[in-house]
Amino acid sequence: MAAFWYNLVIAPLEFAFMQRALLAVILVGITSGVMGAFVVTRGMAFLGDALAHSVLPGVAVAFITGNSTQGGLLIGGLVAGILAAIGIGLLTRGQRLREDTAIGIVFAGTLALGIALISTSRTFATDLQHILIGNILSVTAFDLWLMALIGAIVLMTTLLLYKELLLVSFDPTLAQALRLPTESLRIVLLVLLAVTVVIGVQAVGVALIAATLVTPAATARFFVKRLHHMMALSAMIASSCGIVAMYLAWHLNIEASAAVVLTMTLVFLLSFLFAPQQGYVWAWRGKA
Amino acid sequence: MINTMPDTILSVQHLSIDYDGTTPALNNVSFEICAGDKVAMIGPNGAGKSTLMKAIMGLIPTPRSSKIVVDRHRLGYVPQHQTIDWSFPVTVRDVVIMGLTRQIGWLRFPSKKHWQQVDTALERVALSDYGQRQISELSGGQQQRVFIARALGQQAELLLLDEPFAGVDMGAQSDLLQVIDELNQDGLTILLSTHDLTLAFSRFTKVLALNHELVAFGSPDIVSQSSANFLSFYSTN
Repeated sequence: MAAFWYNLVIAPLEFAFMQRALLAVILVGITSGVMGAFVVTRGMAFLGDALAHSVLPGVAVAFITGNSTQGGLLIGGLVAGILAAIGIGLLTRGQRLREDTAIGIVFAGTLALGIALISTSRTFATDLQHILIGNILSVTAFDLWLMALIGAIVLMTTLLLYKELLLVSFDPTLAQALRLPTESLRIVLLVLLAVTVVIGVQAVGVALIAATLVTPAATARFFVKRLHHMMALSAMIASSCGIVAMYLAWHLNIEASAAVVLTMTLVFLLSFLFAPQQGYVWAWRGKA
Repeated sequence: MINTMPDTILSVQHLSIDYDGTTPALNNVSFEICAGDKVAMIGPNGAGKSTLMKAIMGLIPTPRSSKIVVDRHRLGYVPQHQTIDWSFPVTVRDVVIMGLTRQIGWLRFPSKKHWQQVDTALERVALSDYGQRQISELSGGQQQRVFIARALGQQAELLLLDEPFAGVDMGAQSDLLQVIDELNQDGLTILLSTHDLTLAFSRFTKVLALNHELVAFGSPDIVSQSSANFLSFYSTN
């Protein structure tokens, strides 16, 4: 029995890359779980997906210049993500362009630019695969430190601007009436989301990062009444799912990023069905 | 030079708003509201009622020829019911404390004093027991009272209510009116837009009839006499 548990839980941890990968999914889970609460409550899921794809050109530059480790991926993605966030913010400023239109344009444009850049690389297929589905087992100790630092900045900024971001999200008219800089706060939120996306790209890749923003937060919403409780629960769900998924990936020999998102999706479905009061079964029993 | 009455709490002079350059939403609207007034604003859909409220709150730019004098720090508002996402994860107390955002200040957290202000405001609208409930768990009338409490927390002197009775049942409407009456007796000035003419002429001290231009403004008797044609047209459309 002891051998069973050892093989199940401890043996994978004997490898340093697995330890780093576990720490990475925890860091990504906490940051994306917290920021995902804004994505879900403000109906910004499409934006999250667009920001994920908009980091592609920066990540691509890091790959083709051979700087995909030692923070190169993060820094490249960070620059591209922040530029895209500000671009979307400016295009939609003063409602000159509908937000979904601006997002659609930036989304496709940056994706195309990213693909064009990667296509100049001789290892095109491998690079693209790593960018799209992540490569969490290649996370270095330096990457981890950078993830932790950037994540801490995101969380600290969110904490300090929490009441303003909450007000702008719930009742933008009052925020305007109180003379809060609503446009600047919106752009700050977009930049924070872009940074969150960049932290997660190495773990789960461009194609799946939006799920780590949306799914844990949507799951948490079934259980809580307040936004900051939703953030905390969402972070816990995302990190726990990340840990479980890494073990699943190890033992079942499946792609880690897919395991992360599938675990989160399974927890969401269970919550959708069985959450007290808000779950489908609860509502169905109430009607019966 | 605009001369206002000493107890004037809101002065709107020559207000014109033109969104698209063809049909003005508001055309040369002028009126004054005194402290303690309880004003019902009536007018058909698209008459400019919400635009006027937005202009008073300073949410839309106004031309230089227009002038609005009001202390916007002492201005509370209750939004139209459909403009709020009621499923948003916030409790009643969370909503009320939003009104104190400026008072609390940047990079700061609410203190015990701020939460006491919230509880006092909730007590005044008879919602003390509902503070920890999620906003979606309340009825339509109770939700409107939460927003009134938010304005009270802001220590508002003038309260703007945009169609607060829309989508609210008769019982809740009656409760809401009672709260508004009590607050008005305590000195809060009210400007409320409504489609209910009977209510406007029976429960308010002044009526403001608006149809892009100011049709009439004054006591219910004066307005009903001076704008009989407008009222008969409005009530049949």
